Amino acid sequence: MSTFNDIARYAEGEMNADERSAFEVALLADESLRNQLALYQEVHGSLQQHFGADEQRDQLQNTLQSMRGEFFGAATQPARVVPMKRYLRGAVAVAAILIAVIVIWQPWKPDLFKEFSETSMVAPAERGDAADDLLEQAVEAFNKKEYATAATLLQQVKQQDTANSTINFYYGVALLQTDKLKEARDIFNRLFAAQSAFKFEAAFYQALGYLKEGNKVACKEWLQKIPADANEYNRAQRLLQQL
Amino acid sequence: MVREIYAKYAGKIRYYILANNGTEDDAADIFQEALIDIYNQAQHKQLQLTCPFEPFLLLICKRKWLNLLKKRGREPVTKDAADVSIGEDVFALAEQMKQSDQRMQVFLQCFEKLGDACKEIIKKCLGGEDQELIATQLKVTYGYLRKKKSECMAALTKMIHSQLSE
Repeated sequence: MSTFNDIARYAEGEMNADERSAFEVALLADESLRNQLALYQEVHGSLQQHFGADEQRDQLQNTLQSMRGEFFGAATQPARVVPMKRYLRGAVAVAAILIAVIVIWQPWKPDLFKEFSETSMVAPAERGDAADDLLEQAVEAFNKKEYATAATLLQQVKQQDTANSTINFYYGVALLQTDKLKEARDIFNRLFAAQSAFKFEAAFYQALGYLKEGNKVACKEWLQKIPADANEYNRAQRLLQQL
Repeated sequence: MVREIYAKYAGKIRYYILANNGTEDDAADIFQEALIDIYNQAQHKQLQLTCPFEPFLLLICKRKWLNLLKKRGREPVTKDAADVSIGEDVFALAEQMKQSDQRMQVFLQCFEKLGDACKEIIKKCLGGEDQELIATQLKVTYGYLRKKKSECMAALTKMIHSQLSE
């Protein structure tokens, strides 16, 4: 064990000057020690990459996820051919017409804000200190659409972690959902101005905020700020068409 | 860019996986995983593409799928993806990627065998958070945290070392 302890202490800068130079002398003479140090550094680097946040990778993952449906169909079941009984055909025809009428008429058509503002928050990785408990409760409230509760909780989380764009973004959405439009707007403005991973999500929800007020002009303006390579582009275009 | 990759290659991957006992969902998963893998390798392991992208991507997807089939306990039938010639360079690159992937698996398996305290310290310290902040969160002194981190990393590297030399 002592070799690896020494290697770790050397690599982590925990040795004093004497120990350090002694270790470096040993390194020169001992090839297997050099290999073990290299292994230590490889493990350190790989795990750093694994546990560290990589916004670019997360973005790629999001983009992939959002396009998945366009290029791959939903899970397919092998089609089964079932002979249809004659008397059923009439009933099926009636049902088909009924469905067609309902689809065209769309009596349930929700307002656009509701339709486009759906989002859910991803639970944080388990870490289990007090701040994370708070965050977990916030995620739960948010996903149950208890936005007032979520906003209060997220505000507390935010106080401990002011620069976290994820928390800021969902805090903004929760404010928007509870009609605190002005506060939400400030947050989205800041997210949009910074190079955060939520830049264009923020633009999209900014647009929804204006939509909620009935300000279609400002809503469109914000939607048009979303470039074609952003995640939100398709949603933004759909909303633009419906306006 | 991503859209282009999807448009160009999703069809082929889908065809291959559907032809080999997979579903649309499997195809989409494999495609996504393969691209993230390639991203990781390019970003952190200096993978450089020395061969055409298409056969490389197809080979990565194919290997992933065969692995998954094996895990599900099914004998893979190999109906090949159509009309892609696979050169030596493609195999070499895929091999390099596979090996570094396998090494990473060993690292992570050993990591999981550590005690909870070590796991937490390593995860936090290597996750890029500020170490003084972590020490406060864990209610220990900064000096103690650094000492523990060294010890935990030493134990981990030792375990990995003996695993790899088996």
